[in-house]
Amino acid sequence: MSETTTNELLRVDAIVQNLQDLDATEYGTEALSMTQATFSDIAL
Amino acid sequence: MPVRSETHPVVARFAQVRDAATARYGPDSQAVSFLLYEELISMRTVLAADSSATAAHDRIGELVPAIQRRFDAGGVVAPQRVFHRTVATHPTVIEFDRDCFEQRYRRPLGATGLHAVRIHGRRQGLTVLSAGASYLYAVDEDGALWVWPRPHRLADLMFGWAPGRPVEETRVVHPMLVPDRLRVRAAGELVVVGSPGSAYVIANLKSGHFRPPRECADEIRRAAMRAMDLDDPCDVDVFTMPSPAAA
Repeated sequence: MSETTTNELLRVDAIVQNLQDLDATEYGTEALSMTQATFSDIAL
Repeated sequence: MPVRSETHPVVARFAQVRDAATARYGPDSQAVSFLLYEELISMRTVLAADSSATAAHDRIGELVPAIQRRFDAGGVVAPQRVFHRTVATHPTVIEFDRDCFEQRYRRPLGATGLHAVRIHGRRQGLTVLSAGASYLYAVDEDGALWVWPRPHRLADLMFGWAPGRPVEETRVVHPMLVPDRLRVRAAGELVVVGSPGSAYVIANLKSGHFRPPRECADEIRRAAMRAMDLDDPCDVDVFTMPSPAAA
């Protein structure tokens, strides 16, 4: 397995942790379940 | 999406995670879109390291249309008030409202102590930008690519403005990248992967303040190719957002 592949697999682990951390917040589950995309800066 | 037996190990791992997210949040959820986008970043990274990685190349060919379909199908929330207007076409140029900017964003911009950085060459770009991280970008009215020099996790950009989330006082918004003219040809999020030897750009038009229409995709593609010394338009993935009326 290449170094790049190993690094990317580790990155997936970090992404999973991100999701779990987000899900644990008050708004997380609702945000993750939304079907509409949000913008990277707030819609006024 | 089915996973074939010869699937790349990163693709297989993403499929596992995506299945779990589908079960918990739903098949049309932003969680699943987020994972597809992250998988695209991974596949571009693999391809940048090994241009003969056909599994990564093939998977990119599946991911790009799949992500765009999800953005189109999910739609976007209409803004409560509109503070931008189109001031030119061919190419499209969008201007943010000066009074609104001065009132809401001039002070926060000063508080950051930062300013947008123009990208003008792959080596300089890879110095300014961490490979794989997400950045806010704007293409100014002259076609130059500017980025806000602070990396974000993709999750923070995708879910950072989710309803109910606390809003940071100093949160950067796209007009802050072009404070002098407040005009853009495109604006959104950008990820660069690779090395001085081989690089790719993944971008979108997710600016809530400028709301760039689909045709602005050509502008960020052109600006990214020029800024990162890319010869092939296929080296830049660009995702557009539907208009609220079409949602």
